[in-house]
Amino acid sequence: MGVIPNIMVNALVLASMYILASLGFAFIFNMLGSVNLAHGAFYMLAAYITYYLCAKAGLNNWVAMLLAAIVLAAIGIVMERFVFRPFQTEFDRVVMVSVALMTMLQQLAVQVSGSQTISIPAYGNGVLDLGFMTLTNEKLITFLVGLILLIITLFIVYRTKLGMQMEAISQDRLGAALQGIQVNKVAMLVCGMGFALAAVAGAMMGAYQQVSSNMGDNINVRILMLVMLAGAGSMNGILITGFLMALLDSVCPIIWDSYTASAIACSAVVVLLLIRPKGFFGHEM
Amino acid sequence: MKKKLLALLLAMAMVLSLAACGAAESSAPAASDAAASAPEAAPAEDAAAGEEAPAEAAPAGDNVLRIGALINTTGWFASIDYNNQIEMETLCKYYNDQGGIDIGGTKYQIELVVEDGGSDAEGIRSAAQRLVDQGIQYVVETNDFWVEGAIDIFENAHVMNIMAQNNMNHGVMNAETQYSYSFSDACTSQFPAALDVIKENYPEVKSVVYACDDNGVNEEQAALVKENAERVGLEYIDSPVIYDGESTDFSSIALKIVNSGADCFIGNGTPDNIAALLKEVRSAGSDMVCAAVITLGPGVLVGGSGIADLSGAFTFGSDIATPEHNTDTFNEIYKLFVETYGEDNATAWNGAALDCLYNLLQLMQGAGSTDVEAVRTYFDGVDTVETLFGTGVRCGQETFGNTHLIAHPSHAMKVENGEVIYMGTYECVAP
Repeated sequence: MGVIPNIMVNALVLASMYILASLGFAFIFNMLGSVNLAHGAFYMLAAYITYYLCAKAGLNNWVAMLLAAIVLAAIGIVMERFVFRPFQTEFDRVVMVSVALMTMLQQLAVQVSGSQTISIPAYGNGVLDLGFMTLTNEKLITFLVGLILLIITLFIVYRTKLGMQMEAISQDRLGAALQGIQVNKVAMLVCGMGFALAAVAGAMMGAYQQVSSNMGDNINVRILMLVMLAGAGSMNGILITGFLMALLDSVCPIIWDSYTASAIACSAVVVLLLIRPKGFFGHEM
Repeated sequence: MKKKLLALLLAMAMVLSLAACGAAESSAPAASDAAASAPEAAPAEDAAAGEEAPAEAAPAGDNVLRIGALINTTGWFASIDYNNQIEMETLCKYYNDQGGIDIGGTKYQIELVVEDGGSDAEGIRSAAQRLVDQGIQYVVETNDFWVEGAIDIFENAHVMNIMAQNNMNHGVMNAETQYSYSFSDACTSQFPAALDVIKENYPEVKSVVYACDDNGVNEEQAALVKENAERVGLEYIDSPVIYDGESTDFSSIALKIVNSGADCFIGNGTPDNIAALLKEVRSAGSDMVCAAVITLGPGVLVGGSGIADLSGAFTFGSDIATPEHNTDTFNEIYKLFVETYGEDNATAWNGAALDCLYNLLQLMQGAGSTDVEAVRTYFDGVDTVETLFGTGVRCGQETFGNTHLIAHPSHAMKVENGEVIYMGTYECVAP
């Protein structure tokens, strides 16, 4: 069994999901300046919605994922209107509200589903034998979904009018508004899109890994580290640091025990931020 | 006007506070009265006399035996302890429906006094104190790691406390602890049995590696695995894989296990984590055997891993699907449980706390008394106890420094192509 190919596959799968989950957070952070600490909780919520639509309503898991993404997009729009927009200039209030939301959603998950972990049915079964290693269809599908959505997102950001408006708002909100860009409308769309991407990541990871009330905490830490390391406003940075972080997460536990690996990964982030406070690719936060 | 209103509200708040305090004071003796287990309970209180001993309880006319249940009904552990609670309540109902349990010629109705630890160490400590304050003399508890911080409360109050599971935790049971017991050992004794299962059923396995959540006693568990692997002639791969119990990504941990070169990985810990690990081990192309030292059927691994045709894993649990594999009493209680709580709750059947309570009641019957000291003395004099799972043995001297542990026979069950298959009943004894 090839260890290195397996590590690379694991890193690619994790990276695709880390990036997908981080994009929504980064959009909101870049455009609205809001640190949505509840982003991981919404990722978790999407996983639970998908699970219940599959397990209780008997829906196909792809349909369930799509519905979860739509629900989360709607929540994102509501969040933009009633949380991010009113508290736009008040960093501490957004943090407080998002922490409260995070706690509420976690408790809701525990109350509704109990604290045991559950699993969304796999999006693909079977194994591909590549000769030097085996690759499960589930990993392949998870990676491909991440990749396709990433390409679509990049296309929207770099090749469409909406993307240009997003960039303009990120750089100068007032200036963008003076140029006739409907800032609130764009922000609403972007929040919806970001939440939907997190929903897809949650629904995929709920099958690839497991669904639990604390799954949002783990991804939150990754999202924060990833966005900080990438640097504010950098899409390319998110892609590169997303892969690096996933690689660290895949390699470190093989060399060290889980705690040491986690501590080393976090220390690496702190050191890198000390060396490059702006992150690798972005402007100063 | 505002000031007057404020003063009025303040006055009302003070009056209500005083009334509440008064009510608490007046209710305290009532609680003690209710705590009176039976006429036989009086000597126990004598024995427990001391600074921190509960207040003397008056005998109750209706002979109610109150037994504490220190579990988590809220917080993250609630879903596990929920089954512990309803299984114990089923046992109480089982006896109460028969007119009570006969101890020393007196019939007692059993009342389970549940106190919630809130899945929090401080909460557990408070709940333990509340039980002691109510004059409860016997407490059945949740798992060892929860109650570690509350043991001194029970020790000081001479309350016999019996934890549902002790995973080799010396902090809760050692040569110094006098009132701490585990009457349904689910871990220590099952490691040696697991190695026997591997030797007898998986001839292709030549080596094992220990892989487990970080539970604070990994070193001791790994040593036990090593000792028993050598006993049955298997190679022990000396590179234990310890992982964070709150991990969500198990792919790298699985690669580490596969790379160890072992043919089998063995460990206990959270069933969900083992399921996730097994999934990743299979995903890495390995068909190595998984020996999960958990007290649940292997169906939990199928559900947790999401692999419908899962093979090559076994666990120890109650074979609830096959009544002939169980004791008659077990079957009766299980039937009552399903009638009362439904099939849904049966999927999370645990049996540990239930068995602890059952064994405690057997010991009281054997002692012919509800007096704590009489029950302890009786327990010290017996070698075996008829548990719900068959004849259990008093053991644990080498591991814990005393023999406050009852190890019972366990059903080994494997999963092949997604089907749960009974492998046999294995005698379990903790060193």
